[in-house]
Amino acid sequence: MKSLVRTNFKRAISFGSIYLILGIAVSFLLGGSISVTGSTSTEASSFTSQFLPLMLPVSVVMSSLGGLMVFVSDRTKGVFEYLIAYGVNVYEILWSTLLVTFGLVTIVLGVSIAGNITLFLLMGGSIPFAMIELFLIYTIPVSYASVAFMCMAGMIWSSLTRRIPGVNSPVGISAILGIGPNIAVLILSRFFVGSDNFMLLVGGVTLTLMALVGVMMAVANKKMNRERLLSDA
Amino acid sequence: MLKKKVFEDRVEMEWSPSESLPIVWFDSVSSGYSGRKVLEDISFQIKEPAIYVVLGPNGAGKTTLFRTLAGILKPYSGRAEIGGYPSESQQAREQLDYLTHIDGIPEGMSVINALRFYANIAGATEADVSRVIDLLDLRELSVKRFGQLSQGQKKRVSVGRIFLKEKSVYLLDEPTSNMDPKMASEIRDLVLRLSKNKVILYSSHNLFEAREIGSKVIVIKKGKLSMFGNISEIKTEKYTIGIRTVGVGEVPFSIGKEGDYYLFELQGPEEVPDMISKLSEKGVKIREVKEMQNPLEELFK
Repeated sequence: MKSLVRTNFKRAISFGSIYLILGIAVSFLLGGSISVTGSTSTEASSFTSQFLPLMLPVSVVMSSLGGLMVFVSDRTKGVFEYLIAYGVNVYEILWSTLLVTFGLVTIVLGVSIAGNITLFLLMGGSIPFAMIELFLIYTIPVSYASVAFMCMAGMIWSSLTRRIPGVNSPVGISAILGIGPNIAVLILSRFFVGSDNFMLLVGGVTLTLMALVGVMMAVANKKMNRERLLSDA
Repeated sequence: MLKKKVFEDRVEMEWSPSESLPIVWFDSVSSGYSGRKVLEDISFQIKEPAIYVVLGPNGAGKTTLFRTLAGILKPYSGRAEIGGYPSESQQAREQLDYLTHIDGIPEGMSVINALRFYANIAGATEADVSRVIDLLDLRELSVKRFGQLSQGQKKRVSVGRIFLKEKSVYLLDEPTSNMDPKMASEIRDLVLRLSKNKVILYSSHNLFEAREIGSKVIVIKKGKLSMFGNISEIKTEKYTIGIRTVGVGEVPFSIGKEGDYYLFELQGPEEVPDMISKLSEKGVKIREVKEMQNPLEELFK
């Protein structure tokens, strides 16, 4: 499985390179524009400390589509049929895709958070504690959970449906599913910001997503037959 | 290697030691997809290494048979075994290699990286990859992306995978489809060389190819075993081939013309090489030989 993850990680970077670059670029655009506004007023500073950590998971979901793209392509091209014949099981295929996707998340989060913090410091601003707190309790766990949810939903969707040529449906639909919880938090955060309930909301979303992923993984592991991973060709 | 394992396991598995031991065993197997049976109650035993040509019309269940033997599909009933092990077990998988009807090469990979990818999974070495590249004349294509290759070249790369590691049982699902006659003939030669002391199940639609490569035949019709025996037992009443030539001119022995093909009526596929020699002696330059109607249609009715 190690070599499968290693090979597919390189392929996922190559497949999803545009999304990866765009996602990181968007995070820098957000960070850049916020750091300019943030240095001018206290109100903006409070906005800075929350907006970037809350928005980042959306761009992480978009940047991490490469892993799912590799999965959909391999299923369509009949690669899984060979892997299964060589003894790779369904569980390993699903897990390797998740690990590849987590690798992409780590790259985007690492570059975006470290880069933006450096950017703030270079612009002469200070890093608000609330922002670091949000990165730790919201951005990082929700990014991994949203992407895992997106990835599992995409793999299950791809395995249960016949692919229509020219339509990359599982990837597109999964991205929307992955972004959904983040958008909900963004909308709800208007009502919760500054209160203890905000942390409850954030924690609740993270835990719900993680629990959903766990259930999906268990169901897929039990119910997904090898035949589900065969090409429709 | 295979025989040793079979003997060891047979003793443990309470089968009669005096019985001749099947290398591939299908015992009342029913198999298919999403609960829908494609193969129904198929039984056969392969006890001798040879090339077994699997014949059957489209949708008969040839690919399902291969997928069940390769341990990809779990039989609904009955048992499928390779070398005494259930086909889904790792021990069975280690004895078997499988070439599907689709290329199965990961998108975006170069030829050499695709072979390395499979070598890694199959437990083959870099030296094996290099050997396969030379064996199938892939050196010039090795750095090209798989997607840039022609259909025939893609098939060659795909076929190359089965030569990465020596196995005892090979399942080859239409290995020469989409290939020009010269390359198809070279692949058949390679398969023949590979076949020494091996069991090879080779599916084809073409009786000429079947007779050229195999001595045994497994015929599947509507998901059921219709014949298991010697290929010589398949008789055809009439066998018409079409030959496309280089240039125009008089073509002897021909009974007519259909499109670009001169027609020849023979007793059976075994007469094809003779006819090609005769035409060559008369100075006819042959570009392509094909069956004008599938002589197996009668058999599949």
